[in-house]
Amino acid sequence: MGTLKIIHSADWQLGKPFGRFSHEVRNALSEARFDAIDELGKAAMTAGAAHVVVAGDVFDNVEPGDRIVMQALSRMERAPVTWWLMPGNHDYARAGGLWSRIRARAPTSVRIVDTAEPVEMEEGAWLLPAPLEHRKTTNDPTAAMVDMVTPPGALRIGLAHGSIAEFGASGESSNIIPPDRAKSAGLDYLALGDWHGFLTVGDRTAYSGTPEIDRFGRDEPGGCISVDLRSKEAPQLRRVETGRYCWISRRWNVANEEELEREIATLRTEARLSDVLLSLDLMGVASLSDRVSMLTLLENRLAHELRNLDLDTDEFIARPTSDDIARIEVQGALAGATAALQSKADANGPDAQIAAAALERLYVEALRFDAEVSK
Amino acid sequence: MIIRNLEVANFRKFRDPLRIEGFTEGLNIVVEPNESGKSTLLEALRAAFFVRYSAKTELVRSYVPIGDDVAPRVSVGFHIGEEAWTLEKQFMKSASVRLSGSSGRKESDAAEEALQELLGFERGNNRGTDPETRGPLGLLWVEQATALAVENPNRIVRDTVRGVLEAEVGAVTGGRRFDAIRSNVETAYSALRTPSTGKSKGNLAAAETRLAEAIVARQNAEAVVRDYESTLADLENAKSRLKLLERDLLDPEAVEQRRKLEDDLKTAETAALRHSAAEAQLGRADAFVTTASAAVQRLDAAEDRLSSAERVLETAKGSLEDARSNLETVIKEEKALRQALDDARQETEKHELALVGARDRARVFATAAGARRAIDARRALDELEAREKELKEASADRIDASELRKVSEYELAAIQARARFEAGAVKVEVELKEGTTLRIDGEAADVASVEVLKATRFELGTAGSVTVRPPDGSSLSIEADLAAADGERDAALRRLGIRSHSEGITRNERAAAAERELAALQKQIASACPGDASISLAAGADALKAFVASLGEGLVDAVAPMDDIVALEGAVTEAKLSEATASGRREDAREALSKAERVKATADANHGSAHREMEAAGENLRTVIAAGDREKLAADLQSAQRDRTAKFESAEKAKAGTDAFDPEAIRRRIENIDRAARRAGEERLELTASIAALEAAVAREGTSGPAGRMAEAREDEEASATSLERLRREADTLDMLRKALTQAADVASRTFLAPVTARAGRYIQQLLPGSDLSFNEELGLAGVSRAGIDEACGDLSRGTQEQLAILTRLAFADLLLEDGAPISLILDDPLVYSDDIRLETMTDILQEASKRMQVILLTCRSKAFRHVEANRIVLR
Repeated sequence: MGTLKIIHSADWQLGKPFGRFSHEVRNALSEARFDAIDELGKAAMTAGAAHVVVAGDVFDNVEPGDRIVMQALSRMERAPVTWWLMPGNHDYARAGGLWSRIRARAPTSVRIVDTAEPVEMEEGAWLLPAPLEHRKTTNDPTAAMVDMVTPPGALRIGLAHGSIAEFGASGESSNIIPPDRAKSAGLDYLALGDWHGFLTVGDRTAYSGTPEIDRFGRDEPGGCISVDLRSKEAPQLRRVETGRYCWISRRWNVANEEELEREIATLRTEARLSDVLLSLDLMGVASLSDRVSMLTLLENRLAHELRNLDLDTDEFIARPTSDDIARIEVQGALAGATAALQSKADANGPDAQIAAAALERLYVEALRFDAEVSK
Repeated sequence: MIIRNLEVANFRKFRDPLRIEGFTEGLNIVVEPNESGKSTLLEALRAAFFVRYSAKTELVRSYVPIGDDVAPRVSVGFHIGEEAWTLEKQFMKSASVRLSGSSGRKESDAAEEALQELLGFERGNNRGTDPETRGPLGLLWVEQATALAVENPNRIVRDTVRGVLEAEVGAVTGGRRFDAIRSNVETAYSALRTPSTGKSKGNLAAAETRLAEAIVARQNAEAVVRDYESTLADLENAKSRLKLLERDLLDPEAVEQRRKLEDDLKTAETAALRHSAAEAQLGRADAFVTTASAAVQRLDAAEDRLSSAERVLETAKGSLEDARSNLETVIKEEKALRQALDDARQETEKHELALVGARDRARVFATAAGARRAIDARRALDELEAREKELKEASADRIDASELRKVSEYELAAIQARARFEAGAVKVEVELKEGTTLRIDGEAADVASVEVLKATRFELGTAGSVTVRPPDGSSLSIEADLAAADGERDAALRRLGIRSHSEGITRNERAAAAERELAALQKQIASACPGDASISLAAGADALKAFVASLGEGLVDAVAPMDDIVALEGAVTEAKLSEATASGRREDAREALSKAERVKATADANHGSAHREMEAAGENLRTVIAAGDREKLAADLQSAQRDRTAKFESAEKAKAGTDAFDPEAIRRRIENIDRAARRAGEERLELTASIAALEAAVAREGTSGPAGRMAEAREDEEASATSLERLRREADTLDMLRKALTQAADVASRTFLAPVTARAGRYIQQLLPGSDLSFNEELGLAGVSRAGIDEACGDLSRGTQEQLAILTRLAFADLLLEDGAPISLILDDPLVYSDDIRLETMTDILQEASKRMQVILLTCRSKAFRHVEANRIVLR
């Protein structure tokens, strides 16, 4: 047995709804997840791999619609590789369910490993899957791998979905996998899913991460692992980027428009803004005029450049200056209203935030009126 | 503006021209009695200034005095500043207007326009109902009715006041900018909520609807997933049941068990067959035994029959002989007895003849004896009958008891009458010496006592007479009563033939005794005639008398015969007894004879039949013996019995064989196994069908992606909630903003109206110390705050409202005056509701104001305003 090249992927989460986004963003994100399959196919071609193993959570939920299933299968069919799909906790296997449906429609190049039995990938290479049959399994799904018998000398590739013990960043205590499983089960490589980022545990165990990021929390785009396996040797792992969208989280402490511009300029150098979903927490204190102009900048410019902008201004405090207030009105009823709202906002009462917003709105309305008059 | 004079003619109640002159600057009080037309004066002023001369409206027509066809006319003289003007207006007929001043004279429309310009009002609607067009004078000429109301000033006043205020205070409200911003905010807010109710609308309402729908959609999606999950669970359940079922169906143990049971069944069936065959053979053997033993019995019977027939024949023979000899004997006896009977009969006849003769003789004698006895009895009867007659008479003397009772009553009445008589009478007792004679009323008497009832003269010899006079009165009637009672008694006694009641009693007792004796005597007579059967005499006296009469005289004396009839009768009886005995013996013999004959016939018949039976039995035995002799038959029977025993044993054995396997039980078990298998088969079919259906459902529902849709619905709900929250927040923000703006506007307008408030304040402080007025944006009086507490106008007393209404008018008048407007304050019968103190304060204020402007006060209450220093004009 020479070198076996495989692509290790996981957590495709196809059919994730992204309900909180606008229709355009939602469609783009959903499409990107299918595109990731094409990307994986390309990665396999590039690496010369004949197999793509997917360590669970191919689908975002246990019963996605036919459109999603068919899209996925037709994308997979395009690539000249064998796809090894395993149920994870999101798309766990159950009688008559999703996987029966897929099996009925899948092309021959798509193989479903939904039973914990070793299966020969090609001569001398055996896949030892640990499919999940429930959303939450307290058992270690990889325990059975120890007793899985393969022909002597064959490569043993474990495929599992779950957290490594003592490591679960998600805090879930289900389907926990011991970190030394590769060794204890005599595996040449243990391909894991569930963790959406790239992560290696020892030299024979790794998380590939999702091929297309689906949430904030890690800034790098999605990818897979190109694995070269050779008997008796440690596998060669290489991360290959496949993702399109970057889910970037930022906290900017800015006080005026220039500072904001600087931050945006920096962001531009980091990623193509049209592929960026930005979760932005604005912090700091600004005059009303600065705040309004900065928010205008964010909403009227940056938001349009980005794929999506999640803007949180709760900690971005407006401190109206005397100029701001003069801008509204120096005397008369408007000045009176301004003073009243200001004092309410400063009083830190239950409606302080609303008062601040009302003041800001008044400021905006005053500007708007002046702009119309000056026209 | 100073009004100098006023003239009206043909105006309502003022038909004749009325001219009022002498109005001065300052305070004028026009005093007039009620209903004399002061309100008409104000109306005339309004007509002159505000109503177009050419108008023909209802209002104008109302100016014409009722029932007249004349032209109402008003003429006013007034000063504005230093310039004097005269305004003359005539309505309806030859309508005209003329405004004359130092600058010249204007007429018709030109005059109206000049007037408007001069006094600062606009052309109204002529109906006099549009206060908005009347300007300051409209506000300040206060009719009786409107004086109460705290009205907003009319538009012209408002604009004028605003102009004044803006000049004084400056454009503090922000003006157009404020209004525009506020309007934008209101627009933005009302796009989300109805301002008055705070009810969601537009995008906010849509967002709420969307969230509600999203929640429903999510719930539906969850329900679909639940259904789908349960379908899957059902499917899994069905599949595992099917698996179990198929395992059961193919269970080799069950198959083996069934095969074994079938073998057992075969065995059992064979055993049963064998058993029934053995039973059949046993039955046949039983039949053989029965046949053999029947043959032996038949032989026994034939032999028995023959021997018994022999015995019977023997007996029959004996019996026959006995019967023959007995018959002969009986015949002989009968013959002898017949002879004896004939003899006895002859003897009886002889004795009977003797007895008849004796009896005839005895009868003749008895008849004669009877007749004699009857004659004797007849004699005795005569005596008895004589006595009977006596007794009958005695008993007939009996007096009826009621008659006797009457006698007794009469006696008692007589005694009582006498008693009364004696009581009323004078009893004179006379005792005469020897030889002395007594004469009573001239008649000699020798009584010892006399009862005197009337004047009675007693003459005692020659010695003289005494006349006794009993008292007058009743004496005569008493005597009459006594006489009547005595008469009645005596009559009764006479009728009954007795002398006294006691004699009656005695007579009755005697009669009763006679009756008793008569009864006894009659019984004696009856017993003396008992009748006599031997002479055919019936009982009774009459029969006896008739019998004796019939005898006549030819009665012979018969001699008693000497025959012994008893002995003769005994001989007859004895002869008859002998004859009966002989007859009985002969009957007996005849019976015995016929019996003996019957016995002999029977014996003959028995003998014959015994003989035939004997022959038949012999023949029968011969026949039986022909079938086999006794030895052969016994041997046959024995062998048949042996054979049966063997057959019985083998049948028992066969039966034991069937006991080991009950084919019915085995069959039932096989049936159970088959049924179970059949059921399992059916169940498998059902399960397969239901699995197919469930799979189809799963396939159908799964393809729509229920879980995916649920996830989408959940996220959609979250997004809806977020977007709703954002809109709510926006609405809240706008709401707060608009409220802040409104509040600020109020504050600003208060500031803006400060000059008005200040001017009014001066007066208010006099009237209601410690109070402030507030005005709304329309310059209307919004309320009063007393000691920091706000009160709306409507809550104030009527008096206070009226006072405030005047004071605010004053304040506006001051402001307008400062602006140079022509001002004149006319109050029609004001302060009606004010108490004395308030009235005084108000008149002080008015007096104070009259220093700046002309004030005309129309009133009918001259007393109320007597204390006020003013130019008084009295209407007559």
